[in-house]
Amino acid sequence: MPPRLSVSFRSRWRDAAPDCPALPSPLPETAEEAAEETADDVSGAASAPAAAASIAPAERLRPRRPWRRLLYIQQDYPDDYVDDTFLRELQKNANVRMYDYSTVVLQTTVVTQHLSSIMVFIAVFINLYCGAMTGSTLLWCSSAATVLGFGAWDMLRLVQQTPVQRTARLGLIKGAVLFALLLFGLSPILRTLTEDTSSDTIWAMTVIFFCVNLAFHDYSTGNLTNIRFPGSVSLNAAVLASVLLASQLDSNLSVFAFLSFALQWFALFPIFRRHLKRVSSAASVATTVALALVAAALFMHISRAVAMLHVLGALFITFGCPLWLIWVQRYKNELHGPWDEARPIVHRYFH
Amino acid sequence: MTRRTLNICMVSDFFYPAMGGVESHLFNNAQCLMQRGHKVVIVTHSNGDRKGVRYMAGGLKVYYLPAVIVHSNASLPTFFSTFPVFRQIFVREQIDIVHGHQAFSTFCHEAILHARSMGLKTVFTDHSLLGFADTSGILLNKLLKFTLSDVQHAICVSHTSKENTVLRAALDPRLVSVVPNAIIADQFRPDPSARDPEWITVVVLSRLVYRKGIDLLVVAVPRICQSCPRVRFIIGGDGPKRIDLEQMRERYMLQDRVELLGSVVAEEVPRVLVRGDIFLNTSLTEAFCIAIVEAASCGLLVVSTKVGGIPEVMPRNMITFALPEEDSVVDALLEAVGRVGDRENHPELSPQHFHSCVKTMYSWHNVAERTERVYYKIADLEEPPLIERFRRYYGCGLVAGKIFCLIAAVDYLLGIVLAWLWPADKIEVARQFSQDTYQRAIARNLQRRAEPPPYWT
Repeated sequence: MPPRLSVSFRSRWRDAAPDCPALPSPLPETAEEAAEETADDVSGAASAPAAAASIAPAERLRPRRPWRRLLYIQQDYPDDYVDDTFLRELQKNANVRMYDYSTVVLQTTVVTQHLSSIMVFIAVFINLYCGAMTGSTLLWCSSAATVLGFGAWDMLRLVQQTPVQRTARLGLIKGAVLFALLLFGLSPILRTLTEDTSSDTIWAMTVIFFCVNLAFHDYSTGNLTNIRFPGSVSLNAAVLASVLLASQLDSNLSVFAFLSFALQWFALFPIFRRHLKRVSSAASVATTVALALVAAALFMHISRAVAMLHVLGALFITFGCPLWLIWVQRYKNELHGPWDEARPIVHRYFH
Repeated sequence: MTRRTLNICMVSDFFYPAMGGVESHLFNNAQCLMQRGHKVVIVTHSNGDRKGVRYMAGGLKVYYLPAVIVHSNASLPTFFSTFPVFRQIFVREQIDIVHGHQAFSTFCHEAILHARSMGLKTVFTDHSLLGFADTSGILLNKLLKFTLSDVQHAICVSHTSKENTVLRAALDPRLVSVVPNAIIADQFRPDPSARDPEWITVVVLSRLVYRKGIDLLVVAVPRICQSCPRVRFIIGGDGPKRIDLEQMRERYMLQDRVELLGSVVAEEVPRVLVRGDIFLNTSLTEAFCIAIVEAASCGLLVVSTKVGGIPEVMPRNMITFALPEEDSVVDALLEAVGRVGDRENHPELSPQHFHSCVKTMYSWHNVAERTERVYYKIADLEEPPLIERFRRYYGCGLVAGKIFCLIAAVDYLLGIVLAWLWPADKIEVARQFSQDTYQRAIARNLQRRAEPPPYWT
């Protein structure tokens, strides 16, 4: 056997040492101990890669050891060697679930609902702005709807058997009254907030903020009680848009009515819709249809084109987009492998 | 036979005075390459008062360039504005090969782009793993595809990392070499006298962040402390998850058994490690994990989650694997505690043996030798025509490909303008650092002091 094939990595290492003086110069006692004790793994597959690389396969005296996916041994293979096992642990589309058309259609109702609710809101503003609706009408209507909704929400909670505390209910009512009073006091200030700003700017900004609201809205049904990021961004955008719109109105009462309606519509109504969706999908579908129709009906007086566009858009979102989603699934290319960040599994959280 | 020596420029945002895996890789690899006769220059961004040109140990020349830092020590991407200074450096230092490190480094990407515009050979080393699912991963992978479309060779630190890089950048796997990291084993020597024989000590040294699996640690520590009264923990490192560990310690009243050290400077690491019997690593993703190698070199039995490239790093007799799950980590740690408690009957668990094993496995000289092999392989490759470069960039994506072509074309034109403004033959060539004089001076000093020089200055 030619000596250079039998040289182990370690002895080759020692040979190499003189011409490149080791920065951390090996101390004699450890080097000797190193020579005595040898881990199986290290001595087993160790051989000189540089020497081996210069020898053609035909000249080999013994067959090559199979390549091993290890870093701590010196292998008889070049560093850029590609083994047959390369990417064997790659999983493609391992946890892709195929969507069911009817399920996706049902899921789109949340988007349609939210879109419709924004349309209704804008329609209400336009009616108020043109004088087709008075502030007091809006105030009465919205208050009545909120009281009804609160009652229904309470009933839903009873149905779901969530523990309802009397004090919590009382606290809610107290908060609402305080909030209404504060808003009432602020409405003269809010009315004159953008007096010096051109209306065109207000419209443009409102559109932007409603787009933000639409984009960041929390469409999931999981979170029922509190509003978290990015849902909070959405709510803030809606409130900002409402304040901008309200500052275009001419009476204090209108401003107060409009802003209280805005808060009920964008802060409370989505929570109610989420509860409803959890309890009964039929009721949710009914709400969706009703909202879309109300939005279209309100816009009929203002602009037929917008009303039609809204109906078509709602239909497209509900029936067209699911088809589209299912169709693009074929381009799904999900790659998983050992490089993915593991998800730690922990049983006992301490709080 | 006289070997041809090369002038190499390593570029990365991550370098001393910052500390970490990439930083030590650059420094040690450069040192060993210089000992092999090559000239190595490092380019990084300035850090506080450390700006301009500095010399480090062994005559390692480092350019600290001005840059705006945006996020976690990476500089602001400016595409073209770094070209003039990079060109000056490449010409001045007569660079043959530009070697960029780490995908998160803006400097690395820009240096490779400019070097390609100047017709220099480029190598890229990837030090970390990245998934495909999150937004930052998708964006970074696109950028990596751009850079790697036109490098001559890529280097990864583990086989898992190679698979990851090949997929991320759609590379030919034959253009990717695996060269692991290493440690300076002599800095991590076991010291049985530092251990407290009363206790079995588990050491954890890591940044206390989510990616290091601190959540697993938080739940595993009280369970181990409950079932093994002889075990105590020393946890070094700092980060947002430290508060969780402190809460855990309060809640289970483990103040006397869990020691939280806070952040540990690099020189202190061996002194902390030698106090332990077991090293616990709970990382959720790791390309190579130098920490466990350092710990094993100090004679500690390693318990680690089996993620990323970790299974490739050490033989089974030195490491106990766990899944990234609470129960599995606890079981693996209990097993390790049992083995350490019974160490008298197991000579193969002796710290000295671990140290000598690690010493044979990993060395920066080996890394430098293998890196050098990559350099020699690409040094004489024929330069493809410009149109071929554009073809490669064009294939990067429907929209991205066109943008990349545009960037490459502008950069190429910029190169021509710069060559007209500052002709290469008018740029002063840097004087060669004389290794002979330096070594003679070191030897004189050594004789005078008769003690080894501090390695890292």
